[in-house]
Amino acid sequence: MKVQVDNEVCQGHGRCYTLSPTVFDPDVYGYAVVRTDAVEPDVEKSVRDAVESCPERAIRLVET
Amino acid sequence: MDFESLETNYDLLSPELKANMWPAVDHMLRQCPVAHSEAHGGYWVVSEYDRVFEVLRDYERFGSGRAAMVPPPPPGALAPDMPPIHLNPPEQHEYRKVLNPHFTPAAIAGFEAGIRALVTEAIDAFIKDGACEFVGAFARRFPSRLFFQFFCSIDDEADLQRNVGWLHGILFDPTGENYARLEREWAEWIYGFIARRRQSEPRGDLVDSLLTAVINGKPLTDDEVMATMMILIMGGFGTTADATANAVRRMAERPELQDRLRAEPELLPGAIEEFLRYDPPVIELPRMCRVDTEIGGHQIHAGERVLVQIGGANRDEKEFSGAADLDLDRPRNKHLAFGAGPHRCVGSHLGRMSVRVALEEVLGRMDDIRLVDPSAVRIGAALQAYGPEHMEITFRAR
Repeated sequence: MKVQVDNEVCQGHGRCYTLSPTVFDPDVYGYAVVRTDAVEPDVEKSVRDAVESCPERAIRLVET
Repeated sequence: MDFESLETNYDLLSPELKANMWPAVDHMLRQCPVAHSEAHGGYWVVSEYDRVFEVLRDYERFGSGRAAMVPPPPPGALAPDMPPIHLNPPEQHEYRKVLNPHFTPAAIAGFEAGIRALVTEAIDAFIKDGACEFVGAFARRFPSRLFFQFFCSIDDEADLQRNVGWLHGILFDPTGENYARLEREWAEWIYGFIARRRQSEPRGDLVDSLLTAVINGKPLTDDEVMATMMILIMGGFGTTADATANAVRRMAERPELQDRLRAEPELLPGAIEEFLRYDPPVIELPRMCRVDTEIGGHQIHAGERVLVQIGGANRDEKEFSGAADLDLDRPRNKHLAFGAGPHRCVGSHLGRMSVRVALEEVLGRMDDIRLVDPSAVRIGAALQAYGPEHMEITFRAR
């Protein structure tokens, strides 16, 4: 499974890099960037929390 | 309160509405999720989560601007749009590129110790009493100087006190007869401050970024710098105060919430999100329809104003199951307390950190916080805001 952030949609709420800080990072403007897009089992719950807590619905999980 | 009157006359300034906000919001969600109000020259009120989200995101249909304001600014108030809140993309986005880097978690991390010092100083002043009027003694006290000191490098005590005075006067009495005079006095001071800063060595703060910014190929004018500073100061202060007081109000009503957060402090960041969902400090946001369009089956014409109800979105059962319950374990929480779309609150990370530090110190130093009289909590009059202006509490110093 991979995780993607739609940078056209992200507004920098930062819920993702708060909930799942090893997977998401803020850039210099506070928008989210994905550090490692492969979602390992140990972070899967936090990534799902991030997906479901993004007010812009900007994060997507993709089956690989 | 006559809840049926909300269907045609939702008046965001009504003290009766503020006092009955949550039953009123529930009534609108059930009976009139898209309503037209005759108040203040007429405007639409949109309540449901999905529609609020749609309006906030779609700036091409629902734009921002001074003309969207409900009610319009009082006679004699300053005329210019306040960037970036009154602008639309792409120009709005140019401003955000200048501002955002000052408000990222990394950029504000260095202010945490300073915020904790302001919080500690405020608590020190009343901790021995075992009781206080929490809004004046704490919630509006600790954040009032934060922006001036940390973002504008203003450290002269007399300057700080004058600025805080203007800010309070404008924010908490938005329709008062002194509004225009206070706003002009404040603007004059800021113009003088800008002139001094243009002559002095750069400090690398937010003010320097505004003074050197180039937007649409031009540096910002003094008017633009002044108005930007004003809206940032106004946007950050009352909201932080309200978010803090709202959280403490709910914990005082339900002491088991305090006990749990003292026992499990790692829950606090998630709890703050839930407090923000439950009692959003900004309860409404205005937009101006830019084209003839439709929302929820209602035709809305270009030039008509639309007020989105953040409070309605955050209490919409279709998005939040058990929306009327304050649930510290809520697993997913896409609340809209900081808005959505291009105007997402620029200071959201600073606001969250400020409230977290405030609640850490309150919970750490004050046991058994109770409201003296829950029915005597008064909601303030600030425009589009929700938070107590008066709240007597008792506690045991730890």
